[in-house]
Amino acid sequence: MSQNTRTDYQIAQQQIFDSIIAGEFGIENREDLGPMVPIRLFQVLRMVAMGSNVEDMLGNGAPALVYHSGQGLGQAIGHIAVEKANNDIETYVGKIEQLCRQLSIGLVVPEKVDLSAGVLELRVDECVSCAGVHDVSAPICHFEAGMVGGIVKTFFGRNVRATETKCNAVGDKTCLIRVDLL
Amino acid sequence: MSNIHSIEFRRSHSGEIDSILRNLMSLQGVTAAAIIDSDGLVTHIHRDFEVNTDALGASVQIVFGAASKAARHVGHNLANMVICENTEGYILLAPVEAGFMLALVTEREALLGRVRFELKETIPVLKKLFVNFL
Repeated sequence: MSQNTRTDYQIAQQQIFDSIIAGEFGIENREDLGPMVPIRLFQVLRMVAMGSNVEDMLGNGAPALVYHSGQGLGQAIGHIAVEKANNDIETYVGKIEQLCRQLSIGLVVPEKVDLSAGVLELRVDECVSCAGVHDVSAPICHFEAGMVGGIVKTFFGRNVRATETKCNAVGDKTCLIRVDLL
Repeated sequence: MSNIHSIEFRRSHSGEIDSILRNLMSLQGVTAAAIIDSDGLVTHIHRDFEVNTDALGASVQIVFGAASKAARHVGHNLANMVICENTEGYILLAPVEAGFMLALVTEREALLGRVRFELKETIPVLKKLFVNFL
């Protein structure tokens, strides 16, 4: 395969991102079942296929893969929002909140934005990944942390470090993601 | 939380880590030396070429994680180092502490034995710096 040829996964990714950018939530070939799926099915993909199964193969490398995947989605979402935000952080976050609600990722609420310190904290209530998951020993929403990191990175054009400091699955009632601008 | 310590830690030890990476870069054929955290973020890097640090950091953790799993599957216990031999050079990976990794990128002409030796000598020094992070 030549280096310029896109893989099938990349082709599918492009179609999915294009659909999100266009705000298309209806899906062809799903006339009867519609565009929504049970949250538990998403969680199977996230926590089993991209979680424990990947962990079986990659061990401690699994969180990095999941974080990197989330960052890719965050950058895609960020590109949608940044075009409509006129370089205004409040408008940008507003667009992100709206998109995350539309996609049922979660209810994004800014907890702290301290640009002089280079720190942002975003809460994700009703997080799609860990809702209904309990008793884990450490935050497990690496995908969402990567996604928020990708979103912030896209706006500021700087590398970031995003870490989940609270997690519903640990018992915190919400997920809190701290982003440090590097 | 440990993540906040890591940021403070990195700031307070940046000079020492940079000095260590600079020394590794002085080895013949070494074109990049980087520290990567457990999430795949490149926290420190010295390099002679442009590189997508996000992709590099994630790849390092993924490759080392897969190699560690393979080592365990064949009863080799812990993986201490991974060496990727590529058409144009080598990539060497070694765990430091608390999920942090050291990665070296070299040209094909690098003296692999020398680079490997220096990597093994460097790890205990880095471990001392990182052990407080645990």
